[in-house]
Amino acid sequence: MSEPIFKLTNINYSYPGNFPALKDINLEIFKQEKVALIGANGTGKSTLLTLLDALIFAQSGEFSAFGKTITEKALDKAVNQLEFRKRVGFVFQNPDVQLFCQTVKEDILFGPLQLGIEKKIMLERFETIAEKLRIKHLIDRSPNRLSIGEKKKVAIASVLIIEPEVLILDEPTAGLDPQTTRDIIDALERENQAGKTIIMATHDLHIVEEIADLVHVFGGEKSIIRSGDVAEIMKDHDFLQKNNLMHVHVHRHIHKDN
Amino acid sequence: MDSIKKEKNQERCLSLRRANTFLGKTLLDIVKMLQASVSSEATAAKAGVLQRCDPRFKLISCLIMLVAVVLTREIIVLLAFYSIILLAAIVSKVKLGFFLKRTLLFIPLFSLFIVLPAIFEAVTPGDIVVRLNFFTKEIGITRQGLLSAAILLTRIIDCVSLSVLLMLTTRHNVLLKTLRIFKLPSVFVMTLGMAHRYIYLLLEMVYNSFTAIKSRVGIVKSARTGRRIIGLHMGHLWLKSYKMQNQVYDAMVSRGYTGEPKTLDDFKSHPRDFFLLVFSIIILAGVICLNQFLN
Ligand SMILES: Nc1ncnc2c1ncn2[C@@H]1O[C@H](COP(=O)(O)OP(=O)(O)OP(=O)(O)O)[C@@H](O)[C@H]1O
Ligand SMILES: [Mg+2]
Repeated sequence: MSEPIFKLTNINYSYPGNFPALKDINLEIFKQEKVALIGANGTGKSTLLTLLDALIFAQSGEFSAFGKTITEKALDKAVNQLEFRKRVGFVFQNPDVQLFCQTVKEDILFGPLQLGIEKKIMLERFETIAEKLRIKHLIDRSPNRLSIGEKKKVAIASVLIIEPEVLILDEPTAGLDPQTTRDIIDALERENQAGKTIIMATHDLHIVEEIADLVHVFGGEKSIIRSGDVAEIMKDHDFLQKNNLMHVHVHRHIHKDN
Repeated sequence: MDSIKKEKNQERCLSLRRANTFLGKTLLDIVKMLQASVSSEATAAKAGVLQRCDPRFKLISCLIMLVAVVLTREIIVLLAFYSIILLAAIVSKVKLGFFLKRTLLFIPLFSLFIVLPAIFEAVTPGDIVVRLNFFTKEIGITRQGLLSAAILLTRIIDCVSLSVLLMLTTRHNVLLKTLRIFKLPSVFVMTLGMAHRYIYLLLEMVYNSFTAIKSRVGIVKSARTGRRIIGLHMGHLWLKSYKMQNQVYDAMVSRGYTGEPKTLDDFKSHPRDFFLLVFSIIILAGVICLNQFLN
């Protein structure tokens, strides 16, 4: 295979105040791969995704994207910054931070406007995405008045419209109903068929097999404890249970006369 | 057995509700009030005359009318203005009751302190209509005073009604955008908009966390524990909103924000918008002429 699009070597990251969040991460992601990050709460998944989107920078280790080393300095130049932003899109775990405009439409168009995408193309893309994600009826509403699932869809649309090569998603299906989950998986699948790379963190093991080829499992030490083929890891129930990814099924019998 | 349990439960629920009504209600009211301010979207979305106007022209015409109102010294003219405003509200499908409530209800509060002093002899000398005995002092109310108070009051009513009408017939986000025609930097306008959005969110968080306290703690026995719990939650809330603020910035950067937001200006003007502008200019000119004539 060719060069990886993302390459992380011995990455360490701590939040200000010395809260370690990533320890010694080594990872390679190739074009058109579908990668899932799974792991219990607080194991560093979101942190890694934020780092991949070059919003935070590791204290030690090397991160390169598209063959170039990414540092805060390298991104300081507006040209590099815009190019990176066009190529990588990130859907945050909390849709409220991503919808900061007055209407859904403005929010979706925010990215393309900043990135200087031509108006006609932008509006065409807007129509298609609104249609596919079934959010046409929401476009003039304020994000304040949307349900969590609707917000999530709008947040995803606001990134899809940029048509980035790499889509990073932090729990895109958390708290969504089956139909909405379906819509999102379908949209991601379409993007992947079109050559996009998909990286996402999720707790939803049901969708992992469908949406990913490769899985990286995060452990309590904030490092990747296992990587591999999705089917293989999903079969290993003991391993999943040990890492809080699957709960042990207990059959409780409730007696009425208690 | 079961029925007794049920009763007890109901009792508990009731006292819980009673104990928490005050705070819950106040918060609920705040959220409701904010929602009401957003709810002008409902009237702004109607297909009335003013809704169809280009917001830029509407804003400028409204400002011109405001100047005209402020310059007017005749009560008859001020009342004529008011009837024009009401007419405009009607053709813009704003419910008249709703409109009057919005404007007239809080005007007395605001204007009492400005208008009331004007009626007295000390402020406006002239022909005395009534004399009031204030302890040892005698205060006279003058005819001129009453008239100038009436003028002041109608002027305030006109101004408030005009602004409310503008707000009711324009979408909140569009209104913000029109501020840009005054060459306000887009960062400023965007920040205003974001403040509106996140104040709403913060209030919702306050409300939710209060409901969470209620469901977890049940009855808050003393005011002191109540305050402590709420204090703790507020601290948590501020941390949360601080963290969110950083994330919002990250989310903007992630989509290509580099310091100067670019926005889409999709205003479309129509000949009738010029009519609105010309109309307001004629009125202003008329008022100025009238003032000249009366002098
Ligand atoms: N802004 C922050 N400041 C300090 N520490 C943080 C911050 N954000 C996260 N952390 C810490 O970093 C660690 C990793 O957090 P992260 O959000 O990456 O976990 P996660 O795997 O995404 O969890 P979840 O499944 O709950 O989303 C956690 O221990 C967390 O407490
Ligand atoms: Mg997370």
